[in-house]
Amino acid sequence: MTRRTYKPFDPLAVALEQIGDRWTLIIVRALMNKPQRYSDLRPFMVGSGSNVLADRLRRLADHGIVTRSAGPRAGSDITYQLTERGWTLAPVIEDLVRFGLRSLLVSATGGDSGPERRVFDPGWAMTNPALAVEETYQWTIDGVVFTLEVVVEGLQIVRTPGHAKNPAVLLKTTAEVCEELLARRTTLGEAVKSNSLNLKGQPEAIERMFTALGFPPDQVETLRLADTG
Amino acid sequence: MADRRHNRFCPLTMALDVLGDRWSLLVVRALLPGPQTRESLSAYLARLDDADLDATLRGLIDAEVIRQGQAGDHDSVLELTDRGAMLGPTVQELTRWGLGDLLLTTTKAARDPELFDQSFAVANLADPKDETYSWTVDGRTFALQVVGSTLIRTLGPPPDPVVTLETSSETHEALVLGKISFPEALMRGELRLSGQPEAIRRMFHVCGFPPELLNAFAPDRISPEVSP
Repeated sequence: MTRRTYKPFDPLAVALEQIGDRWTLIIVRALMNKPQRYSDLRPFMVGSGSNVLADRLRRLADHGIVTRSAGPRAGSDITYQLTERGWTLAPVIEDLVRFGLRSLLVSATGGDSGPERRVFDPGWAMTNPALAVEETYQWTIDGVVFTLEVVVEGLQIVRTPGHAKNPAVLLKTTAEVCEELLARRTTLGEAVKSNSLNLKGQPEAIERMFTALGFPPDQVETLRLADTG
Repeated sequence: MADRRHNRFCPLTMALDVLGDRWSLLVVRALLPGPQTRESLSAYLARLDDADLDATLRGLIDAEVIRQGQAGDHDSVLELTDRGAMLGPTVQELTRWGLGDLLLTTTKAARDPELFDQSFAVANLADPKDETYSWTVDGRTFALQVVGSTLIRTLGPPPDPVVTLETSSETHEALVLGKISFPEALMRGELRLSGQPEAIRRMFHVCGFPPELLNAFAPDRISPEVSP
């Protein structure tokens, strides 16, 4: 039977058809951290419709990007992981991360979001919103200072340009180091150790900050190792 | 178009707020070689209706990926900003990724005939013909049959191809990305073609090769007898 598709014989259109959708790439990125169960993936999907995760996982499996495997014991949860083909998407995701980073960091050169106040939703990163603590963090990236404030009511992160009044954490680094971290070419622990990222604040506050901002738990853990090592 | 912003403090989400649809990166690719008028973009993205094209362009302008500019005698053209030009490698990576699927070189190779919509390419062809080409990529042979404005890909060799092409997925990728030219690939024996020069040109047109790549290759420079 001939499959009816409306895609053209065009590699870019074919790629976008398979993975151009935002939720698809968010799932692929989550699986680059580690294999995940269905329930582990749900927090990444905050804001999507209820059937989107199941639908995208099925499509990813159909296209040979993701495989499912059952655990060692009978009845153990099914986990999803990237295939070899799925892993070949890593450079695409790195490029997109690099592109998006400029909108997050209030950089000296500006960017689409400019220096104005902006509100972010941390709900996807904080699996237990009850643990949110109202505090502010001051970031200096490439010499440009901005403040990130966690607002417990309504659970928001508010970014404003300029210095914070009583920051719980001070962070200072370069956009380049942020890129390296996001591309997983270095870890938070290594960056702190090599002095390319400076942190000041209570260890618990530092952990809370990175968690609220969506850093994967294994990255945050490298800080503890750096402390004791 | 609905508000696509999800406001996460996450660079991937920020990028996808701007680019996470089927069209934005196709617009970026169209502008990589240089500025274009809205009309020429519209012809290039024939499958996109006017309202969707306008919404896509507006979104890209708001995100400072593209901007209105002026070029020559055109009142208004669209061009990439520096930020938009940063997406060149992303477009290349995605193109490379999609090629495996078109050339049946990925593990998941379609056994059933698959139909592709080539109206965008056929529309620009002076003399379209229903005919069949045989492609062998990495040792795997498939048929590409033109029927009107569609292209049907079927695994296995066709009975009467007007053009036979043989190459590796690596060379094909380099050709699509403009890293080597057709004459170069032919000369090095990395691409083997047989058939009438006009049929060969038609084939590349129908298969959607960018016109600027085809301009670089003059039909008289193809010698089907070139052997490795």
